[in-house]
Amino acid sequence: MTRMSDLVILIVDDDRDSRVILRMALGTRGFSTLEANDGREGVAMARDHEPDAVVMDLSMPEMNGCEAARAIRDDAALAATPIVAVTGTELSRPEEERIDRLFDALHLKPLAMGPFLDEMSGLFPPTLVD
Amino acid sequence: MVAAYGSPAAVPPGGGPPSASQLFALASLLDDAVVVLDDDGAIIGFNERAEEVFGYERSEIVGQPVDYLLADPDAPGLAERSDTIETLGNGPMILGRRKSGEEFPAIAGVLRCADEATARFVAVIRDRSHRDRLERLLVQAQAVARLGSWEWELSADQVFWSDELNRIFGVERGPIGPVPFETFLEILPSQVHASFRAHIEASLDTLDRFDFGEKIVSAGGDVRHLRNWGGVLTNEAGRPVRVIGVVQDVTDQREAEERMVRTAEAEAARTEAERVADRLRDLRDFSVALSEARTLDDVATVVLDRGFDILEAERGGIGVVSDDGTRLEALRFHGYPPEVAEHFSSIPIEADVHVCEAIRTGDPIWIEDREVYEARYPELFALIREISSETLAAVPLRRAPGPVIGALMVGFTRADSLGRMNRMLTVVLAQQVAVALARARAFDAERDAREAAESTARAREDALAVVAHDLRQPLNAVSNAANLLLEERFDEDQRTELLEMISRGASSMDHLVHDLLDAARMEAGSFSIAPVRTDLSELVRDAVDETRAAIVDREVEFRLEMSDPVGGVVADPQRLRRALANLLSNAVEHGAEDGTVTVRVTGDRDEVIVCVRDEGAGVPEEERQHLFDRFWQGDGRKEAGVGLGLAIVKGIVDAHGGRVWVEGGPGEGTSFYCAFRRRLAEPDGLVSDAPTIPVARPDQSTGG
Repeated sequence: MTRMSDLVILIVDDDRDSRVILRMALGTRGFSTLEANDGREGVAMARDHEPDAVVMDLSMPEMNGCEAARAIRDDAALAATPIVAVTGTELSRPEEERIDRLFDALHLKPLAMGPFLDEMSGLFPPTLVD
Repeated sequence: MVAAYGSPAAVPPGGGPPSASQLFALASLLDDAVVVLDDDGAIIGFNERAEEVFGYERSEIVGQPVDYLLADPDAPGLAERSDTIETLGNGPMILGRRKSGEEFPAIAGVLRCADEATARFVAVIRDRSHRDRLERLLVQAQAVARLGSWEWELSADQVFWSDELNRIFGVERGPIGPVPFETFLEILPSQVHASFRAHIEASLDTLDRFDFGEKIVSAGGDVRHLRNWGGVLTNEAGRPVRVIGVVQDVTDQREAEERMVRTAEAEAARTEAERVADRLRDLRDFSVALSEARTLDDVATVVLDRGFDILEAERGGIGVVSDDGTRLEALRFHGYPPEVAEHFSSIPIEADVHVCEAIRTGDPIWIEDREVYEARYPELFALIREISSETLAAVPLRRAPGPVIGALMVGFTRADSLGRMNRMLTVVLAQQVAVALARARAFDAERDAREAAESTARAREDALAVVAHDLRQPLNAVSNAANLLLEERFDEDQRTELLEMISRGASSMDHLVHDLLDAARMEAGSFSIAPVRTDLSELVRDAVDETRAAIVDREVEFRLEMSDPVGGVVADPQRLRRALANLLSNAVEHGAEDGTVTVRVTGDRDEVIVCVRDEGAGVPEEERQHLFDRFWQGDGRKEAGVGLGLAIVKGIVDAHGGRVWVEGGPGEGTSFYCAFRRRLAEPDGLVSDAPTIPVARPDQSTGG
């Protein structure tokens, strides 16, 4: 039986502090985490590790969150992987619509930890939840 | 016997005084009526001509008293008229009466005959009405022409005049016969006596012709204008014998002339009035157009397109006084050659030019003569000598109360252009232009202020957005880390990591707030430094330590290259450390991932130069000039940042009178240089050891 700690979340964020927060927060719910420093590295790590879900910052150098999400969705092996967007930037309506199509959920920074973690847990069958 | 006087056929011969019959026969040869009277005044002889004149048959009149032949029986009878026949031409006038009752003027000459008992008088009567008939056309002509005539026989002092003269002078009825000149004058209206006498006497003195006008006013108030002209006839000896005068009533003519003049005047006045009305209408349209002119440029366009047309000016220009009041700046010109327009494009208010004089004095200047122009403004005249303007005007533009804000210059080709109307129009127009100009200036100023405000507001919004973003990152970290610490249990290492994150975030926000405040002070011009003698090498070490401490997750090596000893500078240590720290963190941000940041400090006698070099991608030439702009971020930024860092570096270095510059293109890394003078430069350029800004520096209180 798969346990929550067996679930691997890939964190893609260029801000180290954000990654630390996300890692620790997800750790409280028993998730294992991987971290990538930008979009390009995130896509590569997703292909290498096939995580159970991805938490993706939107504004990053090299490859931004949308581009990285598109690349992941275009990869047949990863197409079904849930991707949750997090951003500190206010979004326009067209941007939000685009993000709705690409991502499974969107959370604004600063993260409301409770709802964010509930969302992450909700991505997986309840039986996996402790 | 009576019959003997009926025919002139028989002329009795004989010597001695002529008998009545002889006289009768003789007189009948003349074309005059001849009547023979007895002692009682009864008619005893009547020739054929008398029959024609009086209308009586000889048979019916003979034996009748002579009164039958006279209009006024009480008048002196023919018997009393013992004048000689020679006077017949100018003889006494009688008023005869024909059988028909018609009265007629006549001249009678009567001779007494002593030789015949029954025939005492022979009267020769010349029918003046005959002559009148001949003159009738003249009389009628005189009446039509309102022309009267008079003659003054000087030797006899007798004045004759035509009936028309009576009518002209409004005299009821003049005497039948000639009268002395003095009497004639009395007959004339009293109003003309004096001048009549004076002119005629003058003419007698000089023998010149006379020609003078009179105005007589009737009792009824009618005014009649008379013209008198004539002259003096002289004999062969050159002595005056007769004065001939003509009087014409020229009232109608005058009235006609006056009517014509009045009509012409009215026509001219009407034309002028229409012209004035046209110009006033144009002025009104001009005012409307001016009121719609919003900018200075709009005002200038209206003045050039319409204003100068209203003034009927050939050329002109409009200028405004510069903000500092020292120069007249042209807005627009019309009709001047390029070199003149160029000359006037910007001239000192003190210039010896009519427009500037108008501005200085506040009064319009009218120059109606090119010579006056040349004398008053020789240099300017030389410039516009070729221009055909005859008259010039320079009118200050002032919206009272207030200073003169500009001037109109106007050139007219027509010499009579500066008439009262045009001056008035020019001044009125100038007032309206001044009002429009003042409004346009306010509008332009308001627009500039609005645009500046909008630009500032945009910049503030942009800055706020950037600041919000830059603050959000450490704030998020602090907020999330604090929440995690509160809500979850972590081991010691994790707690430490979160607490360090909170500390860094707080420090980062503090740094950002300081930068913002400094930037705001720099923008407001209130940024000041507190300089003291400072050891630069120590500041560099402090800044490197500070920067190194802020770095996480990176392996950046710092290399210090300092000549020994660097020596001191006079500087604000707090600010200088911030500048250095900003340069260093910029080098860390934009340098290679795990590269080296080199800090080199070199110095000579005058200044100390700090160079911070990174091993990053370098900065393209076109971006270098923006590096020190506030809120500017290069396109290839990989770290979020408010972009204040380098701007604050420049502001701090500038405040110290130093220089900052950047070197190194793409692929070469980037080197930032800051040069500080060892002593602070005084604002006036002098160099002094003393700081420009007083600060507490007890260590130097006795120095110097």
